[in-house]
Amino acid sequence: MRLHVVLKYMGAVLILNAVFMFISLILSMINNFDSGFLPLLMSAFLTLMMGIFPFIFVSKIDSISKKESYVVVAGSWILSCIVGFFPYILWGGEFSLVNAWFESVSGYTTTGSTILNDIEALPKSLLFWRSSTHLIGGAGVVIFSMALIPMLSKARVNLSNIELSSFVKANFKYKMKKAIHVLVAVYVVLVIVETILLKIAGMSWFDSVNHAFSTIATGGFSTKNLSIAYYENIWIEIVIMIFMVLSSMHFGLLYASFLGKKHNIFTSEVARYYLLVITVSIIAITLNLWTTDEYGLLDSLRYGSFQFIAIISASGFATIDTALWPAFSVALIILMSFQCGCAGSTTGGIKADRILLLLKTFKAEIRKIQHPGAIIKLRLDKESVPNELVNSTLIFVFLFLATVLIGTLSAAAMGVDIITALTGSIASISNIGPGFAGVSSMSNYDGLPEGVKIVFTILMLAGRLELYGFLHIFFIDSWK
Amino acid sequence: MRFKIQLGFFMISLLLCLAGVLSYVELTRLTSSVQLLIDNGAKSISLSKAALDIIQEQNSKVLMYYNDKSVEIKNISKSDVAVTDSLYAIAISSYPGNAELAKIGKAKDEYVKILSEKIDSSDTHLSSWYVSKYNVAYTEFTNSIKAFMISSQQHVVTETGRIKANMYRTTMQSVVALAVAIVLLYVFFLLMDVFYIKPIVLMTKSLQKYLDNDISFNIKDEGANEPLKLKELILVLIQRFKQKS
Repeated sequence: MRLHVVLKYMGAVLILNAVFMFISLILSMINNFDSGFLPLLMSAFLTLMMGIFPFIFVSKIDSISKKESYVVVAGSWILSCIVGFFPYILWGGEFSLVNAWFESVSGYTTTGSTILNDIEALPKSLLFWRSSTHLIGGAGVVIFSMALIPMLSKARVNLSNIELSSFVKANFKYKMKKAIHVLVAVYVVLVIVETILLKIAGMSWFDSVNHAFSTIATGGFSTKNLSIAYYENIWIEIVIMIFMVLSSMHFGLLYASFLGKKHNIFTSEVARYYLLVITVSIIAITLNLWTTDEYGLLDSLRYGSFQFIAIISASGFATIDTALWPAFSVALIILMSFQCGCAGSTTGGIKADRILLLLKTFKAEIRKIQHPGAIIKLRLDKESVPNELVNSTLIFVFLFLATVLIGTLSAAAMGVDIITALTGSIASISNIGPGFAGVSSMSNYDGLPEGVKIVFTILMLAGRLELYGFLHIFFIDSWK
Repeated sequence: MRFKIQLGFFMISLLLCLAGVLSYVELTRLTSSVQLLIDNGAKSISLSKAALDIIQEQNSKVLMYYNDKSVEIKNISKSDVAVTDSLYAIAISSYPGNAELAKIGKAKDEYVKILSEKIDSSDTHLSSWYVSKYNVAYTEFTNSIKAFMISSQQHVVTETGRIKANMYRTTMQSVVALAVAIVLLYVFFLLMDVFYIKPIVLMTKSLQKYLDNDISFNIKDEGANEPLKLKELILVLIQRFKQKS
């Protein structure tokens, strides 16, 4: 493996991070050099130095191997989290070493969990930086860099193959170069449109931009302690709900729908399955909340739909404390926390595509038992699914559940109650944010032991890199 | 080659310099915050002490007049009150927005009003005036000054706690920069190794093998421009040597 090649590509990703730090710095200057100025200046400078250093020595590189690509992708995520932690630790306040690391990882992986008890105490520049980590991480740090930095174009195919799963690529009916541009273009357009709509709905420009970053990245960081509940505005909730759903669907399909192409969100089997799950679950939760006299019918629909979409899209915003909800609603939300949205979006979790494939595999197995001689071909979106994909999906789901189990056991071993440990682990690996009990939608992760916070950050990174990308780091030496 | 190495070292030096400058800025801010806190604490104590001394002196005169008329009521000068007024003005300018100062202002005005009315009037019935009016206003006035003194010291405690919590920031800049500098130094070594050291070591080994055992001089085209140029020159030299022999 050519380490200097790896360093150069990771350097490019760091430069992108430095650019966003400089933008936050400008915001600090506009706000009369608020308390975020010096920490951001120092962080931006350090990140830029780390980013441009390899460029002094490493000249033009034409190719990058698969092994190098894995290291670049995993390394870029970890390095981004490390440099993203600088502004927090240098600013101080509630940010201890572990807390700053947790906030940074949570931001980049678009988990949206926080350790902050008083978010509003942060200066605007730091709040913007916090949301920017969502924006960078939402599209994938490497994909985002590839779209914005021309130098990375030569390694585009290899790098994108690592960061995008086969499910993601399946719905992009273009060559990789165009697919990346479509992904980032849809991402940016959604951010702009949501910002404008949130402003019209009653948010300030600053809050609109930050919440748009959070929504489209399906992150969940808010500029307010009470999250979206602060605004008590139904229009803001509706706008955010619509964009949470859109952001958790395949961006290639959104683009195709916009262009009026045949294969779009209304014809895609996965998209229809996902929308059906949302509709049925919202009806079930609404009826459950209403019949248990939790709220009136309209409030049940309002809170039920917002909280469910916030969880299934892996955004994690809050308008109410779901910890107080009846058991059925809580159980349904926990169950759907495993699945989340569709591949090719900014969401986390196992993904609707894999769950649908598993359901189809299950159905096919039943038919095979009933008709042993029959040749049954699995099809997803009218295309036959190879056995390798079914196998890798099964292994992925097994690994996902095993990781959740390890996370839960680790947290429980460090003294955390079982509900907090389990839902915290699911919320971390699925990049959702809030769980239940000690880490519910109106609570935060500050009260957890430091060790548990570190375990959860590992889960966040593993979930964001879809497990394989993360696990490769530990087996890189055996890769010849 | 020299330029690249110089640039690499320059960047690391610049990084450490910036860390030093920012640490210095943080330290200066911290020092000035601490100094301001000390000055404010000392000032609030001295102002309160001066005000209490004056009021106590005035109270003694009132008591002497009340007990044995050893002091003429006319001798309880209004100038003492004027001093408390000026002290109050200093306190207001030094601690703008302090809630306790507003209470002092109110208590002072009431005390001055009661005392002035007595000095100006010809009424000689003191006992009811002293107990029901003067003593109440006096107690209120002194208590409000004490409350101000306590609140300013509580502010000192809170601010000290805040400064203590942020004290690590003066060194954290350097710690983070130092960590980054160490990483950069390692990267620097790694890149130097890949582009300059390794190619030269390989060339030396290959040249040695050629001279000892006549194994052909052949190494991969890896490294920076300068070692590659050196390799080409060695190849030319070998070629010429072969032609001559």
